[in-house]
Amino acid sequence: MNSRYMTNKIILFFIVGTMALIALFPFYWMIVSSFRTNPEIFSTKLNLIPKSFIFKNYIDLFKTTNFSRWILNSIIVSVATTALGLFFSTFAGYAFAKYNFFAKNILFVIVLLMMAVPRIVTIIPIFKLMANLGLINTYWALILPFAINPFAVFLMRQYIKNIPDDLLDSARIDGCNELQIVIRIIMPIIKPSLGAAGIFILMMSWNDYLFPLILMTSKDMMLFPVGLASLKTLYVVEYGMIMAGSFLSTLPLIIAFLLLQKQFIAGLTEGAIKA
Amino acid sequence: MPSIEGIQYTYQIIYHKTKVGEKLFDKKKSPYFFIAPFFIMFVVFWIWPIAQSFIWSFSKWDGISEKKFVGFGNYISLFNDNDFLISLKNVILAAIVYVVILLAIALLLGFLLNSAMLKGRAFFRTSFFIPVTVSLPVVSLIFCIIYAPHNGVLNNILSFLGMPGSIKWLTNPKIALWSIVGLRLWRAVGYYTIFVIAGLQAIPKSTIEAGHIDGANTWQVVRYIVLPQLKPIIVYVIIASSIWAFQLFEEPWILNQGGPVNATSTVAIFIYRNAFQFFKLGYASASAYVLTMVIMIFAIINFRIMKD
Repeated sequence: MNSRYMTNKIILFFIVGTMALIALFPFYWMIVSSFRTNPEIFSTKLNLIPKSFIFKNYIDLFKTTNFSRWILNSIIVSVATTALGLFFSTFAGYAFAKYNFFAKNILFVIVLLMMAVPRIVTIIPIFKLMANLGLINTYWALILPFAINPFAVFLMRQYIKNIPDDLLDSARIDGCNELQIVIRIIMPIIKPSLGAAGIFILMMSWNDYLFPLILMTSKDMMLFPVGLASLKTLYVVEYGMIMAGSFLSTLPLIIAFLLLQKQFIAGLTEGAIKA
Repeated sequence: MPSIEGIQYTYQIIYHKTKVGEKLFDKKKSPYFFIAPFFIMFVVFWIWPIAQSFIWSFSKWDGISEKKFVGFGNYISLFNDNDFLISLKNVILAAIVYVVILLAIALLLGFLLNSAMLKGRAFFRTSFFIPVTVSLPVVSLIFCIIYAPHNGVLNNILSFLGMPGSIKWLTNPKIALWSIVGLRLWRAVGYYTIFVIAGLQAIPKSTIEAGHIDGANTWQVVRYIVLPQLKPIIVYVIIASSIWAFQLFEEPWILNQGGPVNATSTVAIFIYRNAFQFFKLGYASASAYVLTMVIMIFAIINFRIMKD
């Protein structure tokens, strides 16, 4: 019995370990390739373990491309989108969770229904709208459409619903008006949830490709995914350099994920489970 | 210069004497104030565009000259347009295969990662989630070198293991679409496994123990006790993953531009090309609505099947 248990344990570890290797390998390959030249990346022999590291790709990336500008653009867009998105969804979520007002249920159903329409349906009208407003190639073109996130509203509503009404009523008796209740009572309580919803909005904005491809066309205003992919269409494709950029742009998210694992997973999954 | 305390003091006096806050933010008006910023933006950047593209889908328009109403003309031409039909077929085929394999692996991995027998569970869960943090365009670029036909690492590994190592992962029209499905699976499996694990942990241990006491073997416990309880999670995984799968764009666009010869073209690529390269805005809008219909039908079929 005992030895059978041990064998099962080892087999299980072996299976999951192999799957984990597959899951991590492309990631490993990105890092290794970023320190290699093109002939080394496309070597005739299998060379899984690097023998030497060259930093030329990283130097070239900053010298010959606009990479630092692309990353800066991406940071500006995603941070602003997240801040504005949290503002919108906290207040809207609070209103849906704690008040009764005219047409509340109809409005909420509209929000839920619109979540089911694929985003790509909106892309042509949004392009036209931004062109008419003169916002193409400005940060606003990407911040405004992505700061409204029905899913984040839904998340915040779920979180705020769990706060007992008694707490809000006692604050009212102490003389808080409704705005003060949101800022002084609600916000501090839902801080972890704000983190989770924030990560959700941030990931959507940081990883998007299609909208930036259309709305940010000038070389200086590109976001990093579009910029990096554009390096692939050059006459001579330096794959090592593209991998260097890929690694640098992924690194902040990996670090954030390792530090805030719990909130990361909550932000990306919780709303779905509660739904 | 007034000090910060001074400003705060003046503000407090005005605030309390005039009772601006109380008047504006009483219980009746507040919900409207709170919901207005979101809803105004929601109408401008979500509801109105959805309505607009619906209206445009019934007209011929290049974006500059006058719109011409054509009724269902765009929809009729779409179903006679070979490029569109191939794109639609690719997307439906890829989505179904992707969702089925994704669900199978996520369930299996969820069970394995939830097993008390497994050592280093926390480490494994972290490693499987890491691909999720890599953005899709970056994933596509990484797989560009992994899938390279001449001396790419995947072919090198295959020939190292004694298998044919010259497969044209991206340029063979019969394989290209499945290479892209594989890439997408790699990124998504860890994410959806989290749902399965959460679902498994919500099942009370006593029901499973009761099954074992009644003499059910492991497979029977899984089949008759665990899987039925996971149903809502399974439905969610199918619906959520398929909505994204039907909108497939980044990977085939970055890797192949939809090629070779439409082999990896998708409806999203078709929309992008028609709207932003050929300037057929009405036509592109119509194809976006066909895609929406396909997604909805798929979701309804799922709900129907899962109901019983």
